Amino acid sequence: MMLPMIRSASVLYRSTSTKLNPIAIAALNRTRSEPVDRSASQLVPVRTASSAVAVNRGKHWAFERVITLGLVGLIPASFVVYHPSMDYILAMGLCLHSHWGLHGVCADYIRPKLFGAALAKLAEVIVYILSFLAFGSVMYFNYTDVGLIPAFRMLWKL
Amino acid sequence: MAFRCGKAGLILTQLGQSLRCSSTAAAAAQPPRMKTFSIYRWNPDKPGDKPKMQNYEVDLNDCGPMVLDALIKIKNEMDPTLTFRRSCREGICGSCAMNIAGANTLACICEIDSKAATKIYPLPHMYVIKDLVPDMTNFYEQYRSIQPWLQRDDLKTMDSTKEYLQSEGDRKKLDGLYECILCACCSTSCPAYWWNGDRYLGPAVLMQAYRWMIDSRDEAFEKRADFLKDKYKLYKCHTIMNCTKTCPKGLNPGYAIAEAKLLVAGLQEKSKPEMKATA
Repeated sequence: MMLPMIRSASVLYRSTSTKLNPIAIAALNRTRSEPVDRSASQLVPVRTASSAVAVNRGKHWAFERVITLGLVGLIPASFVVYHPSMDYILAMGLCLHSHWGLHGVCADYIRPKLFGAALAKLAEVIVYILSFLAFGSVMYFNYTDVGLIPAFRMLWKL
Repeated sequence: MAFRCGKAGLILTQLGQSLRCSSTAAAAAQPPRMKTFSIYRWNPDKPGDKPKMQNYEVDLNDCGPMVLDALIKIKNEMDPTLTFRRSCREGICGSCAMNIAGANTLACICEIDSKAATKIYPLPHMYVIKDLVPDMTNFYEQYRSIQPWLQRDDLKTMDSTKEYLQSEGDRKKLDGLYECILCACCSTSCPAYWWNGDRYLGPAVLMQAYRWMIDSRDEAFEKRADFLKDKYKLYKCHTIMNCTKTCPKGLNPGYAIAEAKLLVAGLQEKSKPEMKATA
């Protein structure tokens, strides 16, 4: 992570690769007699709110809750009753749930502000690859082997 | 200070001393109750200065009951360079929000505890301007972004001598929301806000966004909900609930955010006004 050339506080603040306080920098660069410009225009964050997104993430959020709650019912139920279709539903649910979880962790910890936009994007892509791999593997297991729920039951018996 | 302020200052100082003497006359019989305040210091005017903790010993027999009293005492009597914001000293202005003994609260309504030492930091994860003074620019900018004012089509044509009407029931819905003083204790206690403070609006601002969404007199619900529907502004809340735990006013931003999520997702409708706003 390269620290950009310090030209002015506003330039520094608008770059994404630094955590330094712009006011601190301004304070370091000025003598006491110079006035500090703390006007809002100088310090407005770069990523200002743009509401021009097509999707309502609220729908997505609600769908996540439905899957999560569904798993709360489905997992205990799979210990009591069994049908091969439940293997596929459980695999789907678990993979979606863990994907959203990992994706959230990724968005929270590998942020463009800290790692740069490219690395953050790469991390996101890796999460997608891992999730698809997991989903593919579990589906393959369901299709060619005993299936997810019987496998859990066999593990339980050990 | 007396040498700087001239005669008036000298008299004031002497007056202060005599007052203090009389107030401590009773306390003098007691053994001193010394407490250490360990305070975050950072001076931007000193090139290369690194943040450090500085300890101040205060005799609690000779100090008001709240942490702000101790801070003012330290500034007045020990170290005039100690910098912090304060104004109302009664928990209504929100200026003295800081991290005291690990929790964000208002210094003016936070009682000094009986432990030997207390650590005081500025609000966590904010840019520091000096000592305990955080840079609130981003926070205020986010508050501005939710347009926290009444929006109606008839604002321009409305008779300015008339008020908008609201039923008692509709007014009650704003209780627990309008009392927020925007001290930012909740937002700066929220890990989601620490991580994504540039894109996630944080509990304080979201609670006000909700307050304006559900106001029976407001007509901009669609616009307000539409503004919050992206990935980060509202839905980056992980329901950690630090906001509700830390709120010095006893409000519940976590609940307001949960309600806002339902409204924005369209799982709940804004209830119809019980009364027409214009007679």
